[in-house]
Amino acid sequence: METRGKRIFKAAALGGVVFLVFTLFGAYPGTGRAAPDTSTFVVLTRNQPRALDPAIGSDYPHRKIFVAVYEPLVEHKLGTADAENLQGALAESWSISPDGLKYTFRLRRGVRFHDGTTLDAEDVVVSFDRMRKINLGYSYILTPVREVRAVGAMAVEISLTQLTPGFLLGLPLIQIVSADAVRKNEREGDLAQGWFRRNEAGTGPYTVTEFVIGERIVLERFGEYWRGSSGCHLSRMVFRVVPEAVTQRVLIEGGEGDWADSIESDDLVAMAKSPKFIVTSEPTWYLSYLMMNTKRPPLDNKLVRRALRYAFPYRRLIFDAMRGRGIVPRGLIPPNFPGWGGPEEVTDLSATRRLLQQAGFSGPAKLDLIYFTPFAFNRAGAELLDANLRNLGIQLELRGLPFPTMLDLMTNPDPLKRPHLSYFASTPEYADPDDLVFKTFSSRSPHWSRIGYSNAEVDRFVDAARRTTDQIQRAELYRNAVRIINDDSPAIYTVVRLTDHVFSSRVQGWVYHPPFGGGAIPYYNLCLR
Amino acid sequence: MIGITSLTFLVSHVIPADPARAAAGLDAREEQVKRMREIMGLDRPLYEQYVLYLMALARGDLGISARSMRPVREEIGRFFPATAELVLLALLLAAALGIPLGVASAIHRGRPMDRIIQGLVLTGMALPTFWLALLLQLVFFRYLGLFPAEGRLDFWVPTPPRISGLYVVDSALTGNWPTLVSTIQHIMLPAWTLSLTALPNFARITHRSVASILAEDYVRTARSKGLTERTVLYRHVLRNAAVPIITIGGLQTGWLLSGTVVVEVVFSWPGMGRYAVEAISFLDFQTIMGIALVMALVFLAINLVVDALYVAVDPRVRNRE
Repeated sequence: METRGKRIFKAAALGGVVFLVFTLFGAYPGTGRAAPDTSTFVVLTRNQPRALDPAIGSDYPHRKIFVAVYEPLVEHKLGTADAENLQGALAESWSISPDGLKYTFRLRRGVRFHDGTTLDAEDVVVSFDRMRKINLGYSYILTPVREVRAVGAMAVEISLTQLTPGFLLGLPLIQIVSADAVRKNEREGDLAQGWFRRNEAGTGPYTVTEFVIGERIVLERFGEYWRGSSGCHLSRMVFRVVPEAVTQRVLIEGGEGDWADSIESDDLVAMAKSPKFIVTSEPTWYLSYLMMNTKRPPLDNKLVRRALRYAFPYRRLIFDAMRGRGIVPRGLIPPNFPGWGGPEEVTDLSATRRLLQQAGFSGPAKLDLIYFTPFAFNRAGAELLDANLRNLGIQLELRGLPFPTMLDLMTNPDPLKRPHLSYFASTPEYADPDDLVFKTFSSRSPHWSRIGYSNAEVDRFVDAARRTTDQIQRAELYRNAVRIINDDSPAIYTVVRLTDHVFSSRVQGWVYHPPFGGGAIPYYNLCLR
Repeated sequence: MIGITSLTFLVSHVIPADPARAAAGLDAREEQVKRMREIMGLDRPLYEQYVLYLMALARGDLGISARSMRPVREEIGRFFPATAELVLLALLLAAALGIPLGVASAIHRGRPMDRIIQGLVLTGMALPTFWLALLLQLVFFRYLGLFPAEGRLDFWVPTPPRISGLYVVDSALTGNWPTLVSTIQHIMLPAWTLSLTALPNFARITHRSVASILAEDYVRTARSKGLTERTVLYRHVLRNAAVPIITIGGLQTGWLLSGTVVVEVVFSWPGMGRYAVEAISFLDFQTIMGIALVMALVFLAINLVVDALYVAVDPRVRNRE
């Protein structure tokens, strides 16, 4: 007779075998091969937005969703970024007062929000006021706003405290939400921030139907979209969170994705050769650079800074480490941006040696360089620079850090305790030189002033440019500022990134839209073959 | 618990970086950073922050994540079940294969079977998890098309109603069969990857434990009484060898819970490991404290379960009590 223990063991063993067989062969073949719905556009993305609130989010994960869900008053024509190509989105037309301090927008009639309400002036007023009160995200664009008020049911007047020539160019980043949704979902004066974490109330061509934290966001086509839905459009979009680049590649190769946003350079080069994929390579506004601490010796001497600029191996970084997935910068202005041009940055170690001699640099010196750990190209760039400088008596001490720690080091109240070199990147949000030159180089902006750069002459030119609407005069003033900055060399501009989108070959209608940068794409004209 | 809360609170607050600045973003002006500091409660003295933290904890409130701006409790409530489901299945698979392999190698000690098993165990221990995960993805998703490569569920099947947070359990309880099938398919590759990291330890400990029991006098006596090998094995050896195996089971559960990061990243599994890494890299200290607290509680619970199992399987422990 069997003992109890034996019976239990047998049952467990049998259960184990059944389980193993089930796990190994139970799944039906072909699973996970393809979505059953061929009109569904599947996005494999590294990150999710933290909220669906346009008053909070301003980075790529947010913009990726926002451009499908929300709309601004004005927008750029597809593929453009300049002021001449602005067109009305929710605004039908607009006018600017002669003194440049009042903007009046006449709103488009019959525009529906996803919550069923219709656009009117109150929605615009509430959206702008809400954004200014929350004071996060893109609210800095509204800094010069004195008041936003309705002038009739379908017109809004925005008055400014000071002349802001680039104001209109920043407005495509200010999204309009339903005032009704804000009112209904406000809790304890939170301006409905709690509700907007997982919900939206925009007018865009797509509406969020599912938001599973850490997993996916599903968007469906909005049937009452004011531009209509004739022609070929996507009916559904699914944003799946796939943080690992290799997994993104495996999935898109297996037919489980239509757009992968984080494939590594090596894989991009290989995939570009396959007819199954479309790999995009448009130059973006994303400029990677090494900020130099202009207060800390020996980098307080601009000759040393210029010497380091000549020592950077631009081509080796781009063509060897990045497999060609970037372009050599031409100073601080990115491509397709007002003022772009001039000679490419060059590597010239004899110039470095000569400039160091002129600066009276006798060496040896040890400089510390920090970079954001996950950015492999930054590490590669830092290592290549280190290799070039070692022969010249300069040694770099490289430290990969988490972003908050980097920020903390760079904002040390004592400039002499801030790092010598910090690897960073900037992407202007809109194509006005002010968003680049003021934000980055003015001593009144928190950006580079953190590491000590300030030049009264630059401030003077930039401030003057901010006070005039004469575009020719503005351009001249910015050119002067850029010339001085170039001479001061507060940074080594290392690479301009290309768009790294990989689409499956069934995707049609993709157009590079510079204001969206490398993070988002215009969805309305997309279509699946 | 006071110790755990104090420790996690202090460690989270002495990190050399400003979480408010990180949350406000690179280009934030000083007043925006200040506002973020107020939102996060970092403008208050440390002791006040700690008292407020404890008071909130007493209400079950783990604070708001600086990264996602969502309640930490809500996020942990979503991510923890995903990890628990994965770890439980991985543990089951590791034990189901590892224990029989350990027993077999002990019984055939010194013979070819033992050497083969030991070789497999050593190979298993040497395989890097990242590599193994990618290999399984390539073979079972890309080439064989047997299992999905990532996520918890196909996006075209409905998410099961939330009962336990474990998709397998919830979809089975609600009779949601397409979701159940999809869930099982999705969990297989990450569970197998994770289990293969725990399996060698089960096999090694079982081997050692069974081999030492086989050398005991009472086993020799049982054999000399004419009992069959199977009876000796089931009645005298396995019961006595169970205690170290339960110990390693408890340890492995803890290890798997804290070691899921790589598997969760490669398989896009929305669990605690990935959540913790994201929180740490963003210096989201409310989340870090919440995760540390929950994991400490889980480890306590595992120890309790292990103690209870000792009592259940070993009469000596029972009688001593």
